[in-house]
Amino acid sequence: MLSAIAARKAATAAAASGGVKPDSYSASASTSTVSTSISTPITKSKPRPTPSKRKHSTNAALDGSITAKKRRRRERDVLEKPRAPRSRYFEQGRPAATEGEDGVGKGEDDEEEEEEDWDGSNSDVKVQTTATRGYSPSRPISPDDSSDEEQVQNGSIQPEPQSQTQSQVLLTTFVPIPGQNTFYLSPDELSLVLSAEKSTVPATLIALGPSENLTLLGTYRLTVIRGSIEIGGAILRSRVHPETHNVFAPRSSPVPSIRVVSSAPSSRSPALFPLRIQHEIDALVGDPVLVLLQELRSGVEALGKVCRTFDGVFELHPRDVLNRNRELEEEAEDVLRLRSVRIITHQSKYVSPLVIPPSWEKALDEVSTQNLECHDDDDDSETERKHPPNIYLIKGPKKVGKSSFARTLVNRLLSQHNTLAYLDLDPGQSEFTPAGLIALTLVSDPVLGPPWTHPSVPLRAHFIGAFSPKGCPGLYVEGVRDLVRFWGEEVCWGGGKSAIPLVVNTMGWAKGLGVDLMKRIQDVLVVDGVEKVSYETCFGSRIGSESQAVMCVYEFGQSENEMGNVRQRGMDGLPLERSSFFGEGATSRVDHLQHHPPPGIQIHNLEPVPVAASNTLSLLFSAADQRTMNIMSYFHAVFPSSSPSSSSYTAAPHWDASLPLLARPPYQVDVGRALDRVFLLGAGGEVIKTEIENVLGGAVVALVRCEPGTLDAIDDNDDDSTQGQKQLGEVGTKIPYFPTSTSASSYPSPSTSSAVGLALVRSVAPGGSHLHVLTPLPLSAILSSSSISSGLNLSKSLDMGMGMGTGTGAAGARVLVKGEMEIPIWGMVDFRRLGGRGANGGEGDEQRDVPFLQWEKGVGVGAERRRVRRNLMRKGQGV
Amino acid sequence: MKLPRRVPWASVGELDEVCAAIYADESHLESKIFAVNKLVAWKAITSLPHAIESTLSLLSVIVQDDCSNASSLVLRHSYSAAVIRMVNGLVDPLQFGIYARSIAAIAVQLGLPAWLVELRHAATHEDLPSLEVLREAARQSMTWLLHNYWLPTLDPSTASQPEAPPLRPLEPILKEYRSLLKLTTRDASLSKQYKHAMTDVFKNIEKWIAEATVAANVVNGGLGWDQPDGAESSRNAREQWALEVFSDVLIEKGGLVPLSKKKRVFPPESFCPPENSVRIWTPLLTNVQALHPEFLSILVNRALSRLLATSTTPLKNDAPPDPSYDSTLARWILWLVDRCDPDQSSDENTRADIVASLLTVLGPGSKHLAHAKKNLNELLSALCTGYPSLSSACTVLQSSQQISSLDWTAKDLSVMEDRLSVLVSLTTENEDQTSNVFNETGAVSSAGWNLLDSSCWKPCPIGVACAPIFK
Repeated sequence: MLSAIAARKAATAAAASGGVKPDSYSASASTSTVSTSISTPITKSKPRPTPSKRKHSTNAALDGSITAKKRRRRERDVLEKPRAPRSRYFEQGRPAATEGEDGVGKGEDDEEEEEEDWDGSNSDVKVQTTATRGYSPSRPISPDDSSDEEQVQNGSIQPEPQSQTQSQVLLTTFVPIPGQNTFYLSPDELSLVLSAEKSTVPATLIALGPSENLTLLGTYRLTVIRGSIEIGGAILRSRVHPETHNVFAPRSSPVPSIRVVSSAPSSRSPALFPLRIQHEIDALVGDPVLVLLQELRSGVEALGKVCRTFDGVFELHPRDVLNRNRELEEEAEDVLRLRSVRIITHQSKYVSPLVIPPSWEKALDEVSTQNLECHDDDDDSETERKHPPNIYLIKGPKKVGKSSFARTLVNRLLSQHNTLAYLDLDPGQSEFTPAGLIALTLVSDPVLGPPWTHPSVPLRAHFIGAFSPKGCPGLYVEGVRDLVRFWGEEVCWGGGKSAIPLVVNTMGWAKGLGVDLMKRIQDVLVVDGVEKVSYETCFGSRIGSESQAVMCVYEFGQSENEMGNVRQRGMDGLPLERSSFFGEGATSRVDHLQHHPPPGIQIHNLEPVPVAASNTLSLLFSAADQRTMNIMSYFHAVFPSSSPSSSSYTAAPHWDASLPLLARPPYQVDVGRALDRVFLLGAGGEVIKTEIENVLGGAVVALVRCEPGTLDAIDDNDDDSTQGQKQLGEVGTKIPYFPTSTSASSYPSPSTSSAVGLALVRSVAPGGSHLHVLTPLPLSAILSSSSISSGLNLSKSLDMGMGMGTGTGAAGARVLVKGEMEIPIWGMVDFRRLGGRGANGGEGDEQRDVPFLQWEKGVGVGAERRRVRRNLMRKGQGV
Repeated sequence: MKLPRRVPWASVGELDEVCAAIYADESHLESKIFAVNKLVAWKAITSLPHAIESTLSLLSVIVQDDCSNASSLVLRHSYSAAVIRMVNGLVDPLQFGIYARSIAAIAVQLGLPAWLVELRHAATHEDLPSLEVLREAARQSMTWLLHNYWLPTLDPSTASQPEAPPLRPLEPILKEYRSLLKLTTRDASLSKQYKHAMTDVFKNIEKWIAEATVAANVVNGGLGWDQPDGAESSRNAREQWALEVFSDVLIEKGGLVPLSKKKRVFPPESFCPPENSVRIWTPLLTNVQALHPEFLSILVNRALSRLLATSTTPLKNDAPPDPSYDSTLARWILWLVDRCDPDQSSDENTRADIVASLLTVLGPGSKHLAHAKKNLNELLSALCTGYPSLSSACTVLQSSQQISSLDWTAKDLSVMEDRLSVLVSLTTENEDQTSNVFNETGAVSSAGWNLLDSSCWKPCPIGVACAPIFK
């Protein structure tokens, strides 16, 4: 409980000053000192509705989660304010309440059992290496999950002055003046400039001076006409055929700024401009960068109605609307004349900019120079495979900005490569796929927006079934190995001339099982990735290879306390363990990196994202919220039905949130013809056959494509009882689900199967003959027999292997796999009837009687889900 | 906004059926096996409430005991695990406060038999108990769950509110605190001596608040607000209730307001409570506020409601009006509001709230005693000093004392209609939804995937089984 943490810290502060206060009483009788010493820890608190008073304004408080988040935010204010007493407290040399401060984390947050994480970096008290409380047998021990809290390693402490100066930095120095640096284009003129067909969307052309930047909130399409700009780590240059990029900038994530990089036009032919503005453009002083902005009508704003946490997230927060300086900003906002965009000039509590710390810049620049060197040699078309592709691995504890860094790295790499492969190993916070999958996706457009704004169909994926692999680490590691092997064999040379590098994003699980998994992943990457690719390079290329595939490991640093100790410990800052989950010795190949990095592996240390930026956002929009939004965005997305040959990554161009999921017409799936097998992962393996219809109803499943013949291999492993079941025909239900009597769950092996995407089984017909299924995937993706051939020359064997032996209609995703994850509650309600903001739940009786939903509070003891407190102190502890 | 919870049963009837199967007679093993299978399937659908999960674990061990020849040791381990998890899961969510309360104390508040807690302790730390004891424990646990979860859930109306042990009184703790503080304020050198006592008192108060938070569950009817069903919000509601009870005790005479009227001496120049009281109560208020951030606002609101209640009730025989109490309370309110520091971007302004309430109460038509009105007016003006927006609002709203009652004329109606149209035009229209029609016409029907359209399918809740529609 966060207020408990605050309590403890304030209690320590109070205890420290408790020894001081009576002095102040005697010293001066004036109440002023008393009031000053009081006013520091007491902060504003939200009044509760009292029955006889005026109506509680329901403006901002949509649901209890926001209230809780306000409380939490105030807790942090409490923590930051009493700094003076705390330093005194430590000077007295008393041991810090290490147990309490370490064992942080509150579990009561969401309805899910996954623990919401506590900013390790927020415990801004430097924990000196005092003896932590030893093992306590009564302490509740539960397996950590991927969103685990840091107990020993606190994030680096950001000094306060830095955050204050950041708030005064202007996010937008560009002042739009119509006629001078802002021009409005009609659709005809637009088609002239872009040399494309007509579009009906209004456009604005702006000219940015040399050091100007512009921050926009909302959604827009960006085209660089002349010069080059940098946005979100991506460097966009003008080209002969102008490229348009979609940018999504909601306030639930850091908002990117458009910065000018250089104004030299890199394309030879100047763009055509309509006559009326040609003069003004030529008259512009300096060499301005010309950027075209258009509205983006994608339907993504409607997603805010589906998941109310994100309602209005592409516009200013109502508080910001009230607080803004009316005279100045109101005019500025309308100047661009784009409905979906607003200019942001100052950072506020609700909007934070995307900040790239200097160590990240350094690392990105190294990447750029590295790649430029090898690109110089690519002009010679004979040296087809001169330099093998690189692997970029990003690891670190959670909440340090791994995903942000991954996105900036991808964007930066895309300025040098056409396509790259992104391997997402975090099933809880995926970048391109909905939660529950680990996937390999091909990226060829810059990533400009939070994960839920670019759902896509992966190239190859595996379904883990939960938001963390803690229940099935074996399946996870097998899946990782298969994806890396797939990249190494099929993908990395697929581009013909240039290699397709691999960017790997990992979970932020820093202790326990997570460490072991990380070691395994690194081993897999080194063995199946780097070494194999290097081997093939020297094998296949005609020119002697001094070039070797390089794996760049980006590791997020720890606090300064720990850095000195890193040498004696393993890479993670913990003492090297002698054994691990997987039973082998502790020494993995990548272990002694600090001392002797093996050739081909470079390590870069990065600093975590500044604390102030991530704090407010993570309070208002937690990781669980973002994940929910990811899933809902996936289900409401409209994927293109045929994979266009030009773009290799089928991002959904728009969303359809007009109907809630329960009002959408589903697919009716004939079980006998379309399904081969149903698997339940994890503990679900104990479900008996007669109950499978109830279990599948309302379940989120993955549509998995298995290679023909492999399902029978699984069947051979089952024992006789299930074999008999299958042979004798169905027992009561036609759904092909065969639990083994040993109740060990079987699953399709990752090396021979691949998940296409997720689907929601709306309902099962009694008897199991048909299913009603909702899925955003196009039928062509489900029924095709091969992975999406994305314009790459995938090795022919892959296609043929899938295509052969399919016969008639035996192709496609014919296996359903269900794991632990459920559809978020937002997907089960009818959002049209939830009412607007501030409406109470009294929607009438028809809402109450919906099956499988319970609107009332649970009565009786033990009616809630379990919730564990990890920061409980005992009587003798703490103060 | 209220969100529902997902439950694995379609209707309460299903739950009833399963309950009947679970608690069927000893000899009906098949019904128990059916119940186990059903519960396992429910667990695969969504995460179960803790009570149902405990029932499942206990039931599966009982079934294993009955029908298989498992060894005694295996059975003892299984029983122990089930009992331990059940007790832990019931007690852990009720560990409010920063210090752990003993499991036994919470169990008493829940009504859990004490020997189960001892058994849990023994099974965790000491020798594994014997099979006979464990079987009895399982039987009693099942019965306890029946009475405390299943029956109330199946039929909420007949759920008799269990007689909760009453909260232990707070007054003695406050008395101790007061005496301690009196000693330390009079003689500062004693503060070190009494430091432990002080921290003890603080811990005691925390424990009392935590106990009250647990007890708030039992007084469920008092929590009348619409809260979305979630552990966090129910916990907030409970904490609020507990803090309100705490505030009520503080507001009584003998608490923030000194008991003897002689002590209610105010500093002349400012609208402040007696200095002594401030000195005495400030540490406690600081402490509690640090642990529970909403405490000050709850206290302020309770004090205000108490103040208004005492000033509006007509003279009762038993409670003679106590003007000094009211004025002290008013001054305390001002002092507390001053301590609620609004941030830069204040979310809600306690001060503005209170001013608004006072203004409504002091509006025309209120029946207040004269001295009470004077008191409230003083409070109002004190609250507004230094806040120009509030004081201007006050002057505007209070000056309209002379409202001459007009008769309705026909013109008035048109004025009202104009105003209505203005208001209506200001409401934001919904954005036109660009509904993209699904373009999957001509789906490949031979492979078994058919897109249904609205002609043959109607919206229905997710999970409801429906018959296939053949074209």
